[in-house]
Amino acid sequence: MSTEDSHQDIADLLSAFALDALRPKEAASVAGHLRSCVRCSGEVDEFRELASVLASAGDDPPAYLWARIASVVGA
Amino acid sequence: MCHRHPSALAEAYRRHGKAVFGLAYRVLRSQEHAADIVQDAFLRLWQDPERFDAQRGSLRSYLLAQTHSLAVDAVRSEQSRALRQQRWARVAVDDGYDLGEEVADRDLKQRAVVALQALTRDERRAITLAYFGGFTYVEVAEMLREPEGTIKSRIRSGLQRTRRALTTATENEP
Repeated sequence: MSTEDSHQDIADLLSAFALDALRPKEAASVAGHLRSCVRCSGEVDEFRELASVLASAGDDPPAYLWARIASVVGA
Repeated sequence: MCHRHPSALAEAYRRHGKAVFGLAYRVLRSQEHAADIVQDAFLRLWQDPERFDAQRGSLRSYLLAQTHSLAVDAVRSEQSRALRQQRWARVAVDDGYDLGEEVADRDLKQRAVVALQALTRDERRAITLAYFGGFTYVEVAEMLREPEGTIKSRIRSGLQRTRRALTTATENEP
């Protein structure tokens, strides 16, 4: 399969990959492709950035959570 | 973070902890589980700061992506698909999920609302089920009784629409 073909096949999956919504086999094949493809990798980063806007809603974390993390890192 | 300053991690938690916990909680629906996942995500950043590459995106987006992936793995392995589908059935029939109401920070809220309003109802449903429900696009297709390819396209077109809406909103800022 040529690199261009891979782009075509993989491009179709990048947005669902960014949302962790692919089947495990597909996710593994996209992850493999991303290791050598800057273009697709950039697309995924951008889709994640967009998803992070949707995720901006927040519920207050329990107060003990930072205390627990801080105790591990010595903060 | 590169030099492993606890204060840098504390600052990252202060800025992003709420959104990160909020995402984990939405996917897992358990405070206790969500707290464990968020702890894992922050400790990963602490132990392996080089995995975050600022050239590739924001720290917020990185933490959310890490957290999401951990939360989805956990929910898929711990909770049966039937139970999860039952829980999210309401979104499948009517997309009554008002994200905007839950956003506390005003600027973030504005961006989230812009992004959400840009989506068509079908795109919003597909993205909500995939991203917050932790379902694969194949499962989403099943729930919405639509072809798998349609759901994949909706996720893609929805995110692309979000990008255009946010770009326009940024350009129109005073």
